[in-house]
Amino acid sequence: MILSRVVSCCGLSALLALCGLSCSSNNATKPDVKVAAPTGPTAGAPWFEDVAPASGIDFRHFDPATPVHYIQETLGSGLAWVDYNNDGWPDLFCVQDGPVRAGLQGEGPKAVPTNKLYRNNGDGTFTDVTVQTGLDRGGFGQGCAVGDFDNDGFDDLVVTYLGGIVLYHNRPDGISRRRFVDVTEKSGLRDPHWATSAAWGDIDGDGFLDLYVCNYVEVDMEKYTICEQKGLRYSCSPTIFPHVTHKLFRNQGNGTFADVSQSSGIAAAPPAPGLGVLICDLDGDGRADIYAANDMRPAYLFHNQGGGKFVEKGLLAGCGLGPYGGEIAGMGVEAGDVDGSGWPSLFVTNFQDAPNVLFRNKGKMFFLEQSYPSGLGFPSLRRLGFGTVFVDADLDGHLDVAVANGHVNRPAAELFGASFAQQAQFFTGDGKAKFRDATAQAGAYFQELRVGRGLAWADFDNDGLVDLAFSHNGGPIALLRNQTATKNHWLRLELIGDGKKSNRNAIGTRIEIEAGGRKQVCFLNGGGSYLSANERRLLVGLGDSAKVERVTLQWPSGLRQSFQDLAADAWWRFVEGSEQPERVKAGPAER
Amino acid sequence: MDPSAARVGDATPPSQRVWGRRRLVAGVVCAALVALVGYFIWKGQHNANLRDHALRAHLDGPFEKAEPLLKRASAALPDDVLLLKALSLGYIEESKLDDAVVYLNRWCAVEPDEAEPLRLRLELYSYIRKKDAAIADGLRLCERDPGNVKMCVRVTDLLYDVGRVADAETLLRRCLQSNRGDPGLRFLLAKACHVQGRTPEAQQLTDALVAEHPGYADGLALKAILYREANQPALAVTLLEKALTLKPDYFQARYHLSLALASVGKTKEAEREMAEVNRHRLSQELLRDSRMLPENLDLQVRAAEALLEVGATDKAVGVLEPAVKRFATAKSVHRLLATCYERQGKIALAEQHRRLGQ
Repeated sequence: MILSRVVSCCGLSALLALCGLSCSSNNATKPDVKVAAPTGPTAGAPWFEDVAPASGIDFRHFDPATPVHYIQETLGSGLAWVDYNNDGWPDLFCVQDGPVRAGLQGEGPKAVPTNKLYRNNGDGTFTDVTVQTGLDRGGFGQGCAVGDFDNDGFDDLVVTYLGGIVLYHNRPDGISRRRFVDVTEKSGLRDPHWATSAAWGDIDGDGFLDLYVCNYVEVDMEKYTICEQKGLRYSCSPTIFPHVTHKLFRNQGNGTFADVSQSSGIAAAPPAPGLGVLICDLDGDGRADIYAANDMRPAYLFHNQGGGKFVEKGLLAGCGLGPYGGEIAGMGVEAGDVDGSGWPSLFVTNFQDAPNVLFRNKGKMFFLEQSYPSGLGFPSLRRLGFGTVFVDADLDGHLDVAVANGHVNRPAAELFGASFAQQAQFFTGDGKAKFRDATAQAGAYFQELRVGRGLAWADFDNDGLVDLAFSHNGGPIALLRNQTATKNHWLRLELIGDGKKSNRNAIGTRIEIEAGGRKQVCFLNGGGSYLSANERRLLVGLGDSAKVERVTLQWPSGLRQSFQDLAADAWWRFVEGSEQPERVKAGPAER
Repeated sequence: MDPSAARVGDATPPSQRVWGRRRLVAGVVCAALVALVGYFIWKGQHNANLRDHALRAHLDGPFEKAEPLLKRASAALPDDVLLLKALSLGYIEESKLDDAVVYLNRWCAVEPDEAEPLRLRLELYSYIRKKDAAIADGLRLCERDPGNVKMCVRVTDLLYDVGRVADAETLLRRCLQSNRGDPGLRFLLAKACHVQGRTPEAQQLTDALVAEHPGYADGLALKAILYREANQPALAVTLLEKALTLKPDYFQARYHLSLALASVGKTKEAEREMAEVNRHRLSQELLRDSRMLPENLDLQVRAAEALLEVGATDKAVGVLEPAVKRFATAKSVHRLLATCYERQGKIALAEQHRRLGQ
């Protein structure tokens, strides 16, 4: 009797309350636990080892955490592979942030840690050359993009800050080395907002690289909104902050840039918190399109109409929203032919409890969302993804996927049932848009819990296997040397545009490789991943083909060139217009 | 000392002495037993009284006041289901969810064959984001009662949330054995095949489902998605339009309709549908943000406006009623509430808030 009265008294309301609560809750999961690392590689499977401690890369990302949990604390900073001295050994640039309040103008006090450049010594070690190259700058750094904006044959650097962007011109220092000189003011690049990822690409086909910069949100530090649950503070959603449009700067070919955000149509898109961007010809019309991932807002797909004009088509093209029309908290982006169609599919990393999203490119600017059927969706539900790259780690001729993971909220376990530090992930592809989660077999780093953010690839030791570098919020860099045991063959392509009709970096080139009766299509994209930049050279897996029958290049200028019978396991340099490629051997690194 | 001397000095015969001692011991034991029984009777009565008192206090007043009594009573009667239930539900109402879990765990242990505590714990675990634990409870419930379609669907959703789609498929197949033909379960099974990349199987299941239940909107939408994937957007358009006729607020179907229309070149129509999708998205985003920041008046107002725009009047009321308590003088809140109540047919309330909003 009393039982029934108790139930009638409070049972119904409690159950209703519970139901209501559970229906409104996010789909969170329990924190992950650290899994014992396998001790050695699995036959034929990708295997990486973190060699950062022995390499001399001692960069540690500044942890800007405060009790307030400012949103600025969450994004971390990126990294870039840049062969700044053209010695054929990719060097590593690491972006540093600082105290939130000190970094608003993009210039921090000298006492705070600075960005770092590590020169590759060619023997597995690196030397800190930050000061001698002029990159010892503090401030709240976010991302970076590598591109030869003046076509002088040396890669330059853009660094994005909370409150601005900085353009470094790579120049001789007068003693036979290189030095980066801040030419921001002279260049006319101005973005007083919270700039995140940036990408170089030639949007108007004039042979000079233009620059796209994502802006995140506007924060009024004097009226900062605090978010709190269960007495714990956490970082508020970006949707509650004002947004501004992203920026597009046209390279005027004389060292200066014009802000064409308005005239190009970029600014006509609804302002949204941008985090990842890549520039790639998505419909094969020979013009560079722009895809930008936004945090909790539809992604932009700026379709290049020619004449420097763009139309935003993300939603109707089917790559603006996630599965079933759900919002994507877009962080990192990547593009590549993962299904053998010859078209670049798009991949976007996403928030915890939402899948990383794969959009298969069906041509004519239509995309088919295939996150779950591809095998990339479900394993990502318990991760919060940031940086991502498509690489062929085992050289089987099919693109694989690596993802950096880490939550944005320190009290994630208490508030969201998620772990703040998380395992990075590695998926092997079969070339037909199906992926297998190979994280558990990919090496010890992939078993460690880290607050992953930036991710970029390079073959830093020139051994024909792609290596990975991860940045971590408030943590050290991980430099993962690829030690996959494989007899598969590879081809390294270094593309050099003519610097007149095509940009010297050859960003925007479409590459067809025919080997062993198979054809692979690759794209030299601008931007990609999250706050980070990959090395410029391409590394293509050939499976068991010891010879390449044909390489066909569609340069940004429109010139189409084919080259036959190239030896595998070699580095080939292709210069636009030259009749034969040059076989290159990595020489000694500059010391 | 000679032991025989003691025996000589004692006049009582030994047998009598032993008998006397035995009687004494027996007496003491009896008295102790009586005392013990008495104590237990008293204790039982006391505990029963304490229990009734605690439960009555719980019924008559707030849980906050009854809580110490209930805890004391439960400590005395740890297996008492009623007390465990009262404490579990009370803590849930008080949002002391960690405490609720303690008593729910005990309740589940005491009544391992009962569905109610498991069901409640499933929801609680789900809310506090211990989804694996929630799933474990859900699977036990489904095992006991595979005919419970609602529970099968609930647990399937949880399994999806954590990416255990193969387990979801297994569960669905088991549930379907007890509920052959259930369209909801058949739809979920087809969806499970689809998201695992087994398109032909998904197609077969969906075709059969739609043939038998041509008015089942979920089935139509899934079939349309499969058509889109097979590069037959025109067929998808027809099915999605039908699904939306059956279920006008089917957001996902509208999203796919928009994409299918774009694929067949009907851009204007596609844009119109996508605008609708965007309105829905924005209202959900504002609803979420308004819950996150209940002290932000502007956010409450914008959320309510967006919800009203998409016809979600009840949800708008859900935002505005707490807001009006916080911002009693905010005219915008009163005006919006008036609109909501008018739509709900609560004319007097609408009038009252309209006046306050002037």
